Amino acid sequence: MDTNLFRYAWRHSKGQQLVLLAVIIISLPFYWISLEVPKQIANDAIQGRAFADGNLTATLFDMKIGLPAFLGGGNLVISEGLDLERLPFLLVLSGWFLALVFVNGAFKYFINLRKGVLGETMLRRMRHDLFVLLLRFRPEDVAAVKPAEAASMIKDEVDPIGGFIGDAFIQPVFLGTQAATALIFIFVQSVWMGIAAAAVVTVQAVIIPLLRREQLRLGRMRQIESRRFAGRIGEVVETASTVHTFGASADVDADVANRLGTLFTIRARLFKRKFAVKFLNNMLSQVTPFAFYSVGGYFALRGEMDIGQLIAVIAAYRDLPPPIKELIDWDQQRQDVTIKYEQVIKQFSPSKLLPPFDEAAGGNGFPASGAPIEIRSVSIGDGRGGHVLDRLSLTLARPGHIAFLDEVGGARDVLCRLIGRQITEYEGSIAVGDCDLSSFPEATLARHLTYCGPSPDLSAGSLRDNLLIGLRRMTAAPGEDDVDYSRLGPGEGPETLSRRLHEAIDAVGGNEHVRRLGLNSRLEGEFLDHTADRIVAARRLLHERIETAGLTHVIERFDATRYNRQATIGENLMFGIPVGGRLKGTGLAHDPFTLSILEAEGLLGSLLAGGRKIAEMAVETFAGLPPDHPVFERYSFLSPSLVEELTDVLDALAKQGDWGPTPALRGELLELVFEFIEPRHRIGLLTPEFRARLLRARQSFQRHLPHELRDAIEFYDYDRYMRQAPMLDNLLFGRIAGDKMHMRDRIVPLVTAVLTELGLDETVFDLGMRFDVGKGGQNLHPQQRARFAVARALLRRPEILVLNGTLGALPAADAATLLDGVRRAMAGRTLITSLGDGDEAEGFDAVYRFKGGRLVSGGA
Amino acid sequence: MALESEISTLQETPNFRGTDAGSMRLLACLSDRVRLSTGETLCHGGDPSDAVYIVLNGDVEFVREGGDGLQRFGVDGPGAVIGEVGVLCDAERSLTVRAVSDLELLRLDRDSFFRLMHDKPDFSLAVARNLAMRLRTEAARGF
Repeated sequence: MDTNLFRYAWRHSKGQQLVLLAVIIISLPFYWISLEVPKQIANDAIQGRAFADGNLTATLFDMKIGLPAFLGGGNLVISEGLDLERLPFLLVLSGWFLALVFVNGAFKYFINLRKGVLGETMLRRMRHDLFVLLLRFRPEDVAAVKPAEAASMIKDEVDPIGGFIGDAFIQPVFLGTQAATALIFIFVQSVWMGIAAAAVVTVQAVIIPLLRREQLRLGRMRQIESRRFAGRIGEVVETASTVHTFGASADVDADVANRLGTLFTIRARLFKRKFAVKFLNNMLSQVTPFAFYSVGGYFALRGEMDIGQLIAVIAAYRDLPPPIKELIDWDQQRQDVTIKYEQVIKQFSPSKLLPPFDEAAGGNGFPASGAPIEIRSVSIGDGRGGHVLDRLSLTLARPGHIAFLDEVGGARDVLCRLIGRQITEYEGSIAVGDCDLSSFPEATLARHLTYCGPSPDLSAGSLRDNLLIGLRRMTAAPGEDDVDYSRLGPGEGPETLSRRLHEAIDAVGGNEHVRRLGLNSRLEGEFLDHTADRIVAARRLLHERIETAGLTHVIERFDATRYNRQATIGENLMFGIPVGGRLKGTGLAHDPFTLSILEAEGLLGSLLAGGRKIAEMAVETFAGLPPDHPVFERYSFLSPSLVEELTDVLDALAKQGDWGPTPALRGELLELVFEFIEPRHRIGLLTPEFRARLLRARQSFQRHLPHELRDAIEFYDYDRYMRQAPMLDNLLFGRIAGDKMHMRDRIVPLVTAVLTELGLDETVFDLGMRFDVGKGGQNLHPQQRARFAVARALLRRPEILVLNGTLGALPAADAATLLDGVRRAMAGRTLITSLGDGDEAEGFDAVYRFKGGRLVSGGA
Repeated sequence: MALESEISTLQETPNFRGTDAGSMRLLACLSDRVRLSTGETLCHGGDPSDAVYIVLNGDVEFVREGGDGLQRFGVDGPGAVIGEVGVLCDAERSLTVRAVSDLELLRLDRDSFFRLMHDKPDFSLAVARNLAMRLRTEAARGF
């Protein structure tokens, strides 16, 4: 991007700017005429100069052009005009003035609108240009970028710049020509008055900006001093103990008093400056009309100027200060925005950029699959004078499975990152065949080489979307197939994609994980229509199998006469799941009908006590834990922000004392306790008496449920599919008792067998693929994230796969199994991986061992 | 047993005596409480080390199953930490663990165990102390 804002703006918006400039020029005659008409109204219509010499009518809008002598002299009549009596003459002239007001307004509307659109267009372009630059940052440069800062720069900081670009050229021309037209008009009416107006404008244009500049400087100074003052207070608080120990309180106090004095002085100067500018502005705007009335009136009395001219001058002068003021503002904005633009550009100008990712930009094609990877004298420093990699030369034959052995963080990791093009700054060269690794455009490289690092990142969205990254067309319309199969390879289509997804998931041992995600998801849309009845059939079959296996006691079924310990208190009370509206989410805790039932059954007290206990435990134990802490996964109804809110809830409860909680606080506590599951959260609420009361409340709840809430709950019904419940709840019609060891391991194979038998495997797989992995994949277990990241890489079927530390998240045995799967999937292609010891590399085609940045042994 | 009684039970055991109640509460919040009946097996040698167990009530026996029968390595009771070596070393379980009485345990999965070790130094110290005591016992046996 151009380092100069004006050059950048002109290059990308020249056409639109020129059109607008032309419109401005065209608008000027209309503006001039609108200044002339008041004079005509005063002189010709009101004072009757057009009706002098006893004329009853006068001609309006006549247009004649005087011809030069060589054309025969005389006048060329374009319009004869209208002959009007005095009153119609006045009214038509006034109407004409009104029409000109509309015309000038329309010009302003058009110009402002186009300016806005132009600014927005340029803002869009600028944001896009910056984003493209960001995508072309080298990995090492991206690592230095703070995500929040980059996002803020692209989103917020360029916002005023885009707005200014609309004004960059147009505003000074538009305002300048308007001011010049008004000034010239005044000069034409009276030179003296023109001089007076010009003098005032000059003062405005020169002195006020100077005063304002000082005002800005003082503002900045105040900001810096305020920051220092705040920093000093923070420092004193942090070192309070030392201050007291060494008796430095008086010194610290004097220092702070001194800083406060400095702040006061700056503020006082700021006020002086600010109000001086205001005073000068007010005075100039009042004094000038005084001059016009007195001096202009004097000329009018002497007959050197007529009343119409005086009125026109005053009207023209009224139009003069606003453009000047806006021009001053424009200039100030220009300075601010230019600095901002330069700062943003600086942040987006690393010393080197990756090649353009647009394939059309050229670059090398990828060499044939047999071309080796040539590493020639590659060195990388460790930042302390040593080397992580010291003049390494190596030829890696392809295809082949290659292992680099070293300690974590050693040469093996660096080498993997170099080949994966995650490090681009090094001495020496790395080539594939004859082509330097850095010469491949991103799209070419991505088709042939995939790098999978130690912290695989997933984006918010479905698991499928994440696996298909780089294969999806973002521009696909809703409902349209968004996969670009050509990127998978020739002959690929929807059928092969499904097979490839299964192969990739299978290779990383992810089937069980996808199935689990699917079983914990709800059926929706077309799935629901086609599958609901089959799930109810599967439920019956599964229960038969569970009974045969003697495992009935392992499932706590949804039974209207029993409390289900594996379900929440809310689910137990409703014996169902809220569908929407009043009872969904936190609605149940605030519903008057629910409260009346709980009160009638004498449950409210113990529930509120339970809610309070959860709140206290959460505040004591979870406060300050990071949002990704596993405890928030187990207590999914508590979030870090809610834990903070609960502190206020507990404070408010303490203040209430014997009065008991207010309705709002009561709602907050019930929200918590309704989510409670005893075996998981264990606050000791579920006494036999509590369970009995809750079962009574359940009956009352169902018996007295108001008509308007009938559709708000989906009650558990063995013969029906529960739309709001996850697939597993539907299959089991209950929940697995989690407190008995190994029971899940015994139930899951039965579930899997039934699903396979009824042909529901694919449905569960597809449902798992729809699972939202959350921002950064936070809804997945770290081990799942690693597995799916490898599956994502395999799905691309790269010629070269670099696996660097991705399997570190897995226990060694799982990692070894996964590596076997990857090796099978990569048979006949190249796999490069970093490993800890030789045992793991058994069977690899080539194993290289490093120590202290040097290759100590290795080869095929 | 509610969280609070689990915490007091743990704090009464030699391994966790003196540990901060907050650490113990977080441990309890991150764990599942599981039960085993007498004679049932908690885990077998060679199983993947996917979790650490802490005994709340009851006794466990450590054995090695081999071709020449069972080799016994002793019995441990409340407060015993089971399976941390496999998790820390990223290795399979080395011994089979059986319930010699009805057993109540806390099950802490691998990631939560690491997170707790990272977040709560007194928990890490208790785990380290437990390991050191076992090492000392083994060393004494060897000499």
